[in-house]
Amino acid sequence: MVTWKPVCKILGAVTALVGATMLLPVVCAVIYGEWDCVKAFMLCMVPMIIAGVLALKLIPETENASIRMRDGFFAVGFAWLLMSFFGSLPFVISGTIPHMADAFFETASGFTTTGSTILQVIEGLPKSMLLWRSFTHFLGGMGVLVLTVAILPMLGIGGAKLMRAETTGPTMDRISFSLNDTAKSLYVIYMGVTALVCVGLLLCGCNFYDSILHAFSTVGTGGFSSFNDSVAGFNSVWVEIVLGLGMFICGVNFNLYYAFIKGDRKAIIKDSEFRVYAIIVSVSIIFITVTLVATGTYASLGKALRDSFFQVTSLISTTGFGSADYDLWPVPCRIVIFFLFIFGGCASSTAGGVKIIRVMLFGKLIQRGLFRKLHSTSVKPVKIGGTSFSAKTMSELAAFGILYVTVIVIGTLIVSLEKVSLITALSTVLTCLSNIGPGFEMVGPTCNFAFYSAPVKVFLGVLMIAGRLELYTIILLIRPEFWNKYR
Amino acid sequence: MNTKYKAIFRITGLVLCIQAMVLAVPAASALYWGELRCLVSFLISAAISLAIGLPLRLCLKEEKDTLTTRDALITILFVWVCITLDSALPYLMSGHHTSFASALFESVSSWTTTGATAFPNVAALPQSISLWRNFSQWLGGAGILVMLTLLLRGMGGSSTLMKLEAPGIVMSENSGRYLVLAKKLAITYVVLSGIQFILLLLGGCGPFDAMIITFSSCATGGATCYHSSLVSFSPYVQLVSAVFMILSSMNLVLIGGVFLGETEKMKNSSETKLYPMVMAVAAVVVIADLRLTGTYETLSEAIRYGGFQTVSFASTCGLYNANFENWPTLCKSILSFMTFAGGCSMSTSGAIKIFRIIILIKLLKRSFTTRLHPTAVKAVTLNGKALSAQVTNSVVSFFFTYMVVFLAGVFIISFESPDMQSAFTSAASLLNNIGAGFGAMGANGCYAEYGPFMKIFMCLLMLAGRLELYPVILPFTGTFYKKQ
Repeated sequence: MVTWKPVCKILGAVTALVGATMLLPVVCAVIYGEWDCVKAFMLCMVPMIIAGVLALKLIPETENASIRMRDGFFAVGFAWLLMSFFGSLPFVISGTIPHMADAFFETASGFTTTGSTILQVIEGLPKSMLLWRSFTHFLGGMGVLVLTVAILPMLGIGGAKLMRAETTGPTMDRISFSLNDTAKSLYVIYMGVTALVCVGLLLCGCNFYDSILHAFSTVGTGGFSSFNDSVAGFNSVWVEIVLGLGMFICGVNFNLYYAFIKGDRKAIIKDSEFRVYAIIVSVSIIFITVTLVATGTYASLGKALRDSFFQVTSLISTTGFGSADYDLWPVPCRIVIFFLFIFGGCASSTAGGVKIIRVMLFGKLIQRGLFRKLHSTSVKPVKIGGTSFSAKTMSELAAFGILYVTVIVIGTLIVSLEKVSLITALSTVLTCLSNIGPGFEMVGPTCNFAFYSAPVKVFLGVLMIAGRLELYTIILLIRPEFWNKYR
Repeated sequence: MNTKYKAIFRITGLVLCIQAMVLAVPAASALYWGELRCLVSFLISAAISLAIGLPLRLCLKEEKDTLTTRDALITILFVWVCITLDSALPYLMSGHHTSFASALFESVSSWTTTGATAFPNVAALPQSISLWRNFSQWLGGAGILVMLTLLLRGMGGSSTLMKLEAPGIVMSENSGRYLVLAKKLAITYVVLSGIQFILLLLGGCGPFDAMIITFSSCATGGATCYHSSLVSFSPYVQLVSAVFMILSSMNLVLIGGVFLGETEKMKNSSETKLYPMVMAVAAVVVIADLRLTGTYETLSEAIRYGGFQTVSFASTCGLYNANFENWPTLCKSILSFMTFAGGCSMSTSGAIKIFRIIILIKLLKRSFTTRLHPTAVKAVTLNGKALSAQVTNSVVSFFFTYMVVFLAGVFIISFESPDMQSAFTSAASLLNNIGAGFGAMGANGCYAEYGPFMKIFMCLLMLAGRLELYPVILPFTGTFYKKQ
């Protein structure tokens, strides 16, 4: 069973923290004179901070404060569910999103940096609410960094562990992996990138509100925008270039930037995961551009390149900004995009998805299988960039892959209870699980998720959180093993 | 690289000789129905395969060495390519297919028990051609090599061949008894087909129809020579076909054992426990969904159509008795996912197979435990026996390879697909050896529209699915040609 005291303390801290972050939209609401919104935010913020602080103060310290595996899973999983619930309250109270299920979906989509929306009309909503929506991306992206760097490895969940195994050797030795140090420096980098994107957008001539809002969405690789037709609303090549580069940058392992800043100038280029990531991005861009022009979908090469560059970076970094309706592109392009949905960004980035390093390892796993078929007695360790991966890591990876497929299958079955097409159901699940945003057909880039029924919306919200936390954290909570006292 | 070409060619020669004899069946039927052009084309094909096969068999000396895995893989690929090429000739020569790619597609689809077709109108074919399509399905169902094992008695390497052709066996039987097993398998298959044939005759089918349906359902193939599969047949015929689709997608060795009174093994097999259960649950959900959404007016209709379709897709057969294109999405997604699971080991069905699914589920369950207790050590078991890490590893890599091949198939097929759904479902349908699907190819599994290169790729996809990936995939990899 769960050790309640420390877990409740953590949950209290998270509640207070989310409450405190609402200060930013409150300030925004005051500036724009949206007094209803100020009231709504204050109504959530004050009780949340009080409750959180009380929980921290009142719950006595336990003697043995170390958290067990089980408590870690519970605390992290539940913290995200709570965050998404509390974060959705301002939407409901202010009446921006009147239904609870809708608001939960929207906020889960925000914190998990998914960017799927149930809003049919975005322009015209209170500015502070839209800022809060995008700010959740920023917070979520940040939380994810801490999670992947500090907490998930403690729980034995691949991402950061893989990253660490991956980057041992001469390049990364100087990085200390103690929680505070790394997290702190990653935050600085994270803020820095946000500022860069924001300044970039300002230079493109955007106003401050739009710049900061889109910077939040970009750096968190979320995808919420303040325009009905997403980034297409800017109608500017330069904005697309700035955001495209920003998304590409945020899909890369943040530890590499740390190493870069610390003086290892070749850290990024030498990293094999980054290389594969860059190759996938460029090959996809070239393929889609060529196909678009060859099939006559686009008349001009420039426009084709522009849209394919933006869509590819947007989707592989699991952001989901839209500059063009890729659902109207030729089928092979859509299939390539579907593959990008699965890949996701690099480990220890703010992107979701399976992650490039895992994709590489799956490739190695398959290669090994083929080799073993011919030479059944051979023992060949799996290696990437000079680092070999243990049998345990590989079996964890395999289990992750099986679980991923299983969740997609079950999720698709549940979503297909609705009146949607097969591809809609499949892409809905995939886009939520990989934290992307748009999907295909009925949930395509020009559509939204409003038509789903309330239970399915809640399910999709939970699916996003499961995807964000690399599946196991949420799924273990509903497994009998977890609640079994004796195991 | 010491490929034992002599041995490989000897086996291929033998298979080609048998192919020539097998062709006598459609030839005789062509003679009986007076379809002269077909008769000539069957005879020419038989002559060609005999002309190549006989010298290969007679002139090459027998080798003592056993075949390596690599040799066995080459043999399998060689044999299947030769047979499907030769079987394509009658379609081409009788003038019913104008292009070589279409004829090859037709022959591969039959031999792999896919049941897809490149004929725009199968109902217009001469009877002997239809018979040949379905007869080759029936032969392919048993896995021609499984039957060959009986004939290869005494020849080294036959057990390696068996291992490749019918895996899963490795887990359930000890390796010394392949021949006995092959015999059991073949006898069970023939007996099952015989019973179905008689039952269909009793149900008022003509001998020709009974033959076509038997060949199709016992092989879990799915091709027929009717305009719309089994739609116009009586509920009795549909019920019989459904029962035999289930039976032939289960472990035939165990079913044979039941005939002989050995029910113990059948009861203890995890596959035979899980497979019917999964099928039953799926059928119940499909039927409920069909009834609740009002797709069918009565419950009995929903049971008849929903039940049949579930069985047909789960067994990777692909026969149909209803227009499922308009069914609700839940039914479609259940049916689509079922096709990936496929039937049991040692059955005629294709796809991933239930025993692998069981192992994958157990690996997943174990991972939940190890997340909570990182130091826990737990073995994965099948039928009460612990599996070695090597076995589970091979299952895992098979699964991921399968997924990658599927996605690669989706990508390539998407170049000529009208929409995404067609790309996905046709790749699934071909790789899993179903034939029918949702989207452009429709319930008939008609692929006539695709270009010649795409058809050849589709042939490879079907073969990959039927031969459990490796014989088809390995020649495309570097390791295959590397010296040891």
